[in-house]
Amino acid sequence: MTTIPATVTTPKIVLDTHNNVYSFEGESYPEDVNTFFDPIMHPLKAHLKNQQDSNIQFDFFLTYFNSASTKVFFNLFSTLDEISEFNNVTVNWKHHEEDDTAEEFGQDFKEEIEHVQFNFIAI
Amino acid sequence: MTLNDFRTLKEMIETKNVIFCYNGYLSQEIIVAVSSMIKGKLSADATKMGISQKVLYMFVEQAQNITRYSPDQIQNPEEASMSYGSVAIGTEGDKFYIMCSNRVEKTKVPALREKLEALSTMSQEELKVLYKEKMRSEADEGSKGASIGFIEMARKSSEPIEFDFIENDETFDCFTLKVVI
Repeated sequence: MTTIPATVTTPKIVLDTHNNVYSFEGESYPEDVNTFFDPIMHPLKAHLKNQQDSNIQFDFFLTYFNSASTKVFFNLFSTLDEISEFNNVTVNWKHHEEDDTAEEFGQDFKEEIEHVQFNFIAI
Repeated sequence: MTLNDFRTLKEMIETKNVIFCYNGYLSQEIIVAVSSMIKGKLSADATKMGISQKVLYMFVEQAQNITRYSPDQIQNPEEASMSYGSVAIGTEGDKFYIMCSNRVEKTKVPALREKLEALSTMSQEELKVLYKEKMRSEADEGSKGASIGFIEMARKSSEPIEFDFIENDETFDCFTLKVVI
């Protein structure tokens, strides 16, 4: 299990590849999104694409993120949609009850992924 | 600048209900610090979370556009890079405005103007279609961000985005953008 601690501009990321449970929590607006996310997303996507008949869970609780980060998550969701044909994929999209901005981002993502179980969780 | 000049400048800013106004070199560190100030100020004013999140979003997008694209940059190997530009956040009635300004090479103006003109006339539905299209495609050439920042700003703005390009010298124009929440 890999845990990447949060910084002021990047989220806390937990990658439990053994149990296929992943979480992204915090804010995401690094100066260079690719430098931060590429080394995380490339191996993660490769691992996900090798999964079959697995239960895969993603928890997101992102309080703030910039447009470049949105694209990174959008790409991740495309991968989740692809692998959901052979796996049982669940996304838990958490947001503060009053934060309709984060909820709207979740709606955009949800529309992109047909076969993934997408749950909104207001906190 | 005389004391009077500075006071006049300050008074001018204050008549526009400014929460924050900055003119100078911006860096990622400054963006982080100002974001924290915006959160604190809007939270103290009991601004609805959905609104304060949008204000923060607009500010970071605009400020990061300056750090990425302003031609007036200082690259210092010892320090983080810095770029010159202006940003302001304030209120007009019950709405927030977020504005930015920086110089742009004249050669880049036609493409940017075309992009922004299109965005300023699109409906929410059209903006959403374009947003999804851009999300699925690679970033525009010469873009260090996701090239969706302007689209997302137009979607979150409660009024059409306003912008102009004013002649600065033979090489540069001054680009100014305003969004309202």
